Amino acid sequence: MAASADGGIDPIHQFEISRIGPKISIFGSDISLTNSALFMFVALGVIWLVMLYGTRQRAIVPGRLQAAAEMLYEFMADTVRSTTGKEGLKFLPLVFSLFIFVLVCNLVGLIPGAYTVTSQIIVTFVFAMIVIGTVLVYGIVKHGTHFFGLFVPSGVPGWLLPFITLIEIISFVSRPISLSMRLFANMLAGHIALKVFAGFIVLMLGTGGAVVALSPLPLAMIVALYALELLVACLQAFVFSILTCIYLNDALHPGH
Amino acid sequence: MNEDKGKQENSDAELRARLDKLSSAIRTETAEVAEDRKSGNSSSTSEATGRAMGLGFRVASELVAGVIVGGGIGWVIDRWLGTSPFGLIVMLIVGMVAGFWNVYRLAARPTGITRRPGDGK
Repeated sequence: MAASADGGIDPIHQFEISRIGPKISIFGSDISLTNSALFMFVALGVIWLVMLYGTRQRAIVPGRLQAAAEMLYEFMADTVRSTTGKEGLKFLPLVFSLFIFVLVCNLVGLIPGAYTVTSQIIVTFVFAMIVIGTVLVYGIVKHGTHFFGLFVPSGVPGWLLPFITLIEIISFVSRPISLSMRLFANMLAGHIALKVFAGFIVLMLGTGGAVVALSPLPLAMIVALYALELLVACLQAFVFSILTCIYLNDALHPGH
Repeated sequence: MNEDKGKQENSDAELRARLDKLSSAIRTETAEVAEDRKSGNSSSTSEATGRAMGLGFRVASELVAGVIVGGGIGWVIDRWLGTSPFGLIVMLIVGMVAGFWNVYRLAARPTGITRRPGDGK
């Protein structure tokens, strides 16, 4: 917890990006290690360890780690198969990577003192652009101009068609924004709420008197919020991946 | 006259057969629904809560994103064509409509297409 200049508690401080170690620059652009990048590597390391150790033994009766790794894989494969059909399975590596990275980043960010990578909108926006870019490129390569039939729904009276097409285009453009904003806003809001309630405890203890007796109340609230945040962290990773599947489905079958 | 009566009886029998078929179909359907509900209850309510929360987040962000994109496009049109503020106003409204249209599509599944598991979460 960081105290700001006026002695209060600053709930935004946790999202500040700071450099760790020496300044490295290549061709004039600063690529030195920041706390954000450090926790991306931490998440990568966690994923690596779970997946490597989980799949190393290949026991018929899986151990705990192997069961976890297999369940994650089966779960994602089921999700992709049920939303996009059999031919969507070639996108499973993309969807699974996004899901596991977002999930582990969210969960690592919940450890007190850790940095939440997914609370930066640029990170989630890049994820969303990867998804939409894949949809666009694959849809156009696979279906050609037929892909743009996505914006022109059938069975609409002629005078309404330009308006509907405009709305369809706007709703397509809003997809990466809603996709990135949902994840970013959930993580940001949750972590700010946690910090604000933690700040209440400090303020109450500092006030002294009868208020000190009330200070366990925000602590109980933090415990409840942590449970909620744990749910939200898993849920947002799942929502992100299922929406990826739904958008990829448009690229695979643009007919409807 | 006699022939007419025979025809009527014939169609009566046909109707009865169709009625029987339909009611048996309804019986199996309701049995399946009851089965579904039972299995849904056995898996904890937290799953249902999670699904509802996911849907809620989707609706909220869909609404906001439509307005943001509409406003952004309107702002760019205004800068290019110098039509301030009409481009912004019109495109904001269109963006809002697009947001609501997305939410409507989220809520109202198209009829005739069987729901696949995992849809609409």
